[in-house]
Amino acid sequence: MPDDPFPVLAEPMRRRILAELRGADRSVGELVGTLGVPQPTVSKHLKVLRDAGFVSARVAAQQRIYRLEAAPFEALASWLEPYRQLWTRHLDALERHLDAMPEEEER
Amino acid sequence: MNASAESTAEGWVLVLVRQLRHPPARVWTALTEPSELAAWAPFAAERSLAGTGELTLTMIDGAERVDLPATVTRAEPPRLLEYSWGDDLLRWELAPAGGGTRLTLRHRVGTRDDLARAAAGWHLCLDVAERLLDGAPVPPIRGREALEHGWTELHDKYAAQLT
Repeated sequence: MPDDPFPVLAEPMRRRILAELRGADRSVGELVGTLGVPQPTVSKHLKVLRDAGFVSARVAAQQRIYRLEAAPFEALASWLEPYRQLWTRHLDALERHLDAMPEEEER
Repeated sequence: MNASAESTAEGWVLVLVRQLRHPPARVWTALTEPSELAAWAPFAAERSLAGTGELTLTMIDGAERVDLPATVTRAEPPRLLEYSWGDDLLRWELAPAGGGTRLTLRHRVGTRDDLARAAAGWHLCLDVAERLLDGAPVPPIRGREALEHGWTELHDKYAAQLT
C-alpha cells in the first residue's frame, strides 16, 4: 500500500477518474471528454494517481493510455479486513438476538 | 481523409488514405528527415528514417518525453517506408496521383480502442504536415495539444466509423 492512500482518494476528481478507468483504459483526451474538466486538471490528478500506484500508463497510438492497477486496491481491502470482522460480529450478534426472540405468530 | 480498419493475425490495423498536393519525393523527405519530423510528427527521431535498422523514436507529449525503440524494416524511396515504434508497426506507401501523392498509412495498434485514437492523432499531424509541405508551417500538434484542436470530436467520429 502507498505510504498513505487516503489523501490520494480523498480528492473527489481522483475517485471519478478511478471510476472511469474501471470501465476501460482511457487516454487523457478521453477522460477530459467524459469528465468535462480541463486537461491540466486531469493530468495533474493522473500524476498523483500514478505516483501512488493506483494507475499505470502504456504508450499506444501516439498517446499514453491509463489503466487501473489492482495492488493498491488489494492493500486497501486487507486494511479494511479487521473492520469487516467487526461488522460480521455485529451481524452474528443480531442473528443471536433474533434467534432468542419468540417467533411471531403466523397470521 | 479516408479511414478503415482491418483485423489481422497480428492485431488491429488502421488504414488511412490521404491525398497530398506534393510529389512523393517531397513527401518522402517529410516522412524521414528528423528536422521535418520535428515540425509535424508525434515523435522525434534521432536519425533519418531513410536507412534500415534500429533507432529511438521519442514520443512528445507536452513536457513529457517517452523513448521507444524502433526498427526501420523497409526504406524504399520514394514509395515505401516501414518501421516499428514500440509495439506498433507503421507502413507508409506513397503513390504519384494527380500531380501530388496518394499517401496510405497502415498503423498496427495494440487494441481495437486504439484505432480511433490513432486516426484522430494522425488526422491532426497530417494537417500540420501538409501546411509544412505548402511552405506555410504551423506549430506541431501532438499529445495533449491535440485536445485544443478538436481531438475529442475527431476521435468520436472515427470511433463511430471504425469500431
